[in-house]
Amino acid sequence: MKIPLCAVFVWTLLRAAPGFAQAETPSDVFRRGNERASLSRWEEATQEYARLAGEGVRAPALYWNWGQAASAGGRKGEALWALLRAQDLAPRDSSINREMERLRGELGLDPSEMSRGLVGDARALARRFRFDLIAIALMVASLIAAMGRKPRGAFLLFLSGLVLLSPILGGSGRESRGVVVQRNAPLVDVPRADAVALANLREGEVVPILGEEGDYLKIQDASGARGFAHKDDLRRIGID
Amino acid sequence: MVKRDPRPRHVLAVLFVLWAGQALAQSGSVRTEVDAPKIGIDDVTTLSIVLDGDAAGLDASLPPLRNLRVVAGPSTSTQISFVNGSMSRQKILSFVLRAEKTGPAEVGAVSVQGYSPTAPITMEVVPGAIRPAQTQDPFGSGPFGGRDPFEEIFGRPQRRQPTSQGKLFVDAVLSRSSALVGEPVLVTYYVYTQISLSGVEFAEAPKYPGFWAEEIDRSREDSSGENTTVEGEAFLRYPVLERLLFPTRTGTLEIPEARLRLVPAGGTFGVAAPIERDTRALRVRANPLPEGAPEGSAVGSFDVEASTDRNRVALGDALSFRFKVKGRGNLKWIDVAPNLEIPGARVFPPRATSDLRTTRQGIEGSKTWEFVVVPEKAGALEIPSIPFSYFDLPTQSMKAKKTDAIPVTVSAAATTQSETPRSSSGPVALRADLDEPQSDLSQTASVLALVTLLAQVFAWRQRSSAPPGHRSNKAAVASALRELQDEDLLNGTKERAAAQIAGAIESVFGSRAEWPADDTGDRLRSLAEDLEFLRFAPQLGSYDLKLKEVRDRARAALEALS
Repeated sequence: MKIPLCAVFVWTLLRAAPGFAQAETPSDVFRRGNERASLSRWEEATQEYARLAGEGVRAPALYWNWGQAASAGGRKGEALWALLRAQDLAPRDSSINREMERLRGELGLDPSEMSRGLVGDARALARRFRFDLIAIALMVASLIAAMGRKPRGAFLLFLSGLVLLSPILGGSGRESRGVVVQRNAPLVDVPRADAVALANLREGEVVPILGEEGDYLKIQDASGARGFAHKDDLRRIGID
Repeated sequence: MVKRDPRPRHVLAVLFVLWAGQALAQSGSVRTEVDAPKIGIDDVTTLSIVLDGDAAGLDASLPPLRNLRVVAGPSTSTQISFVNGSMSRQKILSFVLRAEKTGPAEVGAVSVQGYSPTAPITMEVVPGAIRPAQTQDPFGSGPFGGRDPFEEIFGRPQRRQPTSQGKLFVDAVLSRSSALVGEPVLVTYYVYTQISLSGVEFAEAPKYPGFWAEEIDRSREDSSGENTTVEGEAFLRYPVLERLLFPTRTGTLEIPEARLRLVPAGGTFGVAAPIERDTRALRVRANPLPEGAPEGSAVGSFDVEASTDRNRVALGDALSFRFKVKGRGNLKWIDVAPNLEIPGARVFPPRATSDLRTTRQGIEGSKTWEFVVVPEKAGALEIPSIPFSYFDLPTQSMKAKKTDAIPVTVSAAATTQSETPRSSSGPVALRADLDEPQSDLSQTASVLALVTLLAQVFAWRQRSSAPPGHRSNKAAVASALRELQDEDLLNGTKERAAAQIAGAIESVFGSRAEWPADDTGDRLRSLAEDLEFLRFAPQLGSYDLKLKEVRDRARAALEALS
């Protein structure tokens, strides 16, 4: 009876071994992506990073490295998109802001062409300068004033805190935007393959997404022209 | 010898002549004239009221009109002449009249004070237009000093002798009476005139149902007039408008008549009423293209060419491919881009540009479609030949032309030398570890905001739970204020004054237990304490100042309510 039991145990171990071997951690994938990048294999590196992002990893370093690899591979628009994502995750990381400025200069974009809209920009500003902390302080002061029977002062403090907090809380209501990741991507008049090109979009430009039809997104470029861009030419930004 | 100055004698002579003229011209007359007793319903006539001699210093009004209406005027002209030492003056008031309907018409008597009324003038109005368009100019030349403004507009090289009376009509002429669908037909609008004109315009835009119409760009020379003969009569003929028409459907297509508004130059005293004339309707037989020609085909004579902005491109970069159609015909219609598919490359929808101008022969120029091509793999790539079919007018048959295939070499991105490298050769700054997103306290702040809001609501409800009657009773407030303003209030004892002030306060705010737990309540409580002090403090000195101060505070509390 001993021999069959051992055989079952060995057999079980052999079966489980490949499963353990396949359990690759996100750090492993990230490291492999970095190795590819260090060998200037930018395409493979970004594929690894994209795989991680697809698995739901939300790390500023992931998007930072993705931006570095895409930029080095000549895909500046994609690099800018990755950095915008990184900025969403780490709004107080000054190196991300610096890198974005550098890319903007390389692409020849005006600051307004990288705007995320009024609400989006206000939200980024509020998160960068910790409006949440100031709002908490104001709310506490408001509570104290309300308890001390100072209703006017309490209400004013409450309102001030609410105003500071509103860009962060209202961030989900901001308009959808995307980054042009393809150079000379056309803006077409109808969402069809036989459409007529109205203009070429600027790589790295952040454009509002007005709608979606099939494989196309309805957008408006910085000059005000409205049309459709292929989904492959645009990447959405914002919170997941 | 002293020579005497003759001027005084001359002056005397002139004065004498003037006096004599004045003496001899005491009499005058008033009369009315029309330039034609019989007119057409489409004609105009000029009514002149002539005031001679002394009457020239007076004024005359428009006489009653029957079946006539004023379309212009009045205009006034005055003449002074010296004949055989006597001076005569004449003033003429002119009105341009148009009949309202056919039948008899009448210009009533003109009455001027001191003169007998003029005799009425009877006229006859008949259908149509029987008069020349321009009336005779009584002064021999028009207001432009004999110049022809129409000549200045159209640059007429040879000018006929002006005729005092002449005919005027308009016409539209087709370059051909039948055409294929998409083949251009030229329509020209002419003005035939024996008189001078100062303006020509369409009363309404001409219509071309069943046609695509293009206006021809005309130069100054295109508008010059020419002498021509119509039914034995000499006319000047001016082209007014030229349109190139492309039939869009088969069958007999009718171009409706167009109405032109013509303004004669001059006229009596510079007044000229516009005249309207209609062209005749035109018909064009639009034939279909021969069998086998697809609907919406290009019609004309064309050539095609293709080009790229480069023959070598790095993988990942884009190149531009241009397909150009040039020639003459209905090129403006061709709006469908050619189909371009390149294996191994992504082709974006094209951008169309055109450089076209409309001539009498058709639309000339070129139309270009520019494609952005992004190769997807390195190696040799070929942009295929693109065909273009059209109906050739000279040979009356379908023709097909095609461009040459263009080879393109796609090199790997890293080995491209001709282009500025887009990839960075510098080191990249990679981060080693996956880190956590930076968090914020927005959720905590939100919860705190909710708590604070609830606290605000609670405090507000507490405040509003105070008896509203005391706050809102204006009569009670007014009564309490009157009581506090009473002069006798401070004249009595301090106890009595304090009791009265406390009574006034309580009549509005109620008893002390009802006072609100806010700033107002605090003030009232402070006031009550001071009042109690005044009532029970020993009379060791004067409390007038303190009483006044407390009364003022009580008044302020009440006035805040009102």
